[in-house]
Amino acid sequence: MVPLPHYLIFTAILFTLGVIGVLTRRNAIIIFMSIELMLNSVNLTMVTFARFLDSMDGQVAVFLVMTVAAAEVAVGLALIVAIYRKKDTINVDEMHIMQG
Amino acid sequence: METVLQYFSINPVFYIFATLAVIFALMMVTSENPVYSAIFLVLTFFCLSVIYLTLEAEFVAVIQVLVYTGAIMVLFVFVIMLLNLGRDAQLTEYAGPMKYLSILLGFAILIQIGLATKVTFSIGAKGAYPIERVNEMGNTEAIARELFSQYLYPFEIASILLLLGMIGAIVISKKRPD
Repeated sequence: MVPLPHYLIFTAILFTLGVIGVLTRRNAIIIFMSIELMLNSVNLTMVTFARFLDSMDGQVAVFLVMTVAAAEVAVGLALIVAIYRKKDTINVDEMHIMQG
Repeated sequence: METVLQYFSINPVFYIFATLAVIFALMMVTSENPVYSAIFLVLTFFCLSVIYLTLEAEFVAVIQVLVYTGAIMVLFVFVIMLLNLGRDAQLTEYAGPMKYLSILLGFAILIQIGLATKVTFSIGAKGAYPIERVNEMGNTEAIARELFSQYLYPFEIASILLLLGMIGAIVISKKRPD
């Protein structure tokens, strides 16, 4: 059995890579994929703790997170398509309609 | 079935696939073309699915492949193809000090999480599903028992959320005359 801290370090690294992706990239689709990576690292943390605490709650939570992620991706990609139709780009630096 | 799971619980499997997942995630974040990013993210998700198997969470591992790589990533690739992003794949990215500041900030978060895991926290009470019992009844059955008894309302709310997501996606991406 792999010790618990190793799983936690691994998920922390994946989460950090997702954060760096969101902060450094300007392509809206890649930012979205980085958010998916962060969601996945948190999912793995929950399954890890569920396994180490002899519980099923973490796996049920992962199931619910995946449903939320699926709905979020559907709406988010629809937003990206709508913005691309309007502005002909998906560079997030050029999306500043709300800034006034 | 148990022999397969024991095979996946061997230590090297975790370390090999964790390393692969980190490498693929790094390539996902750094590759310029969004199609390559999507493919590296699919590979990362496959590695994560193997890591779920090392935790003996077979249902989550299968759902990971079916939902994430089968549905969500196909949606991503579909949108990339639909928008024909190949031609402006090289978007003007951040350059200079802001980029390095962002990377530094990311590592600050990593260090913070690392320090948080170093703090000794008391392990909570053990749950009702030790691994022997789960293997006896089956992982899927154990999840289903919890999901349809204790977590019934969240489950119903999730179904409404999916419906709303579907309607929202249709309404938002509809072409309107302007």
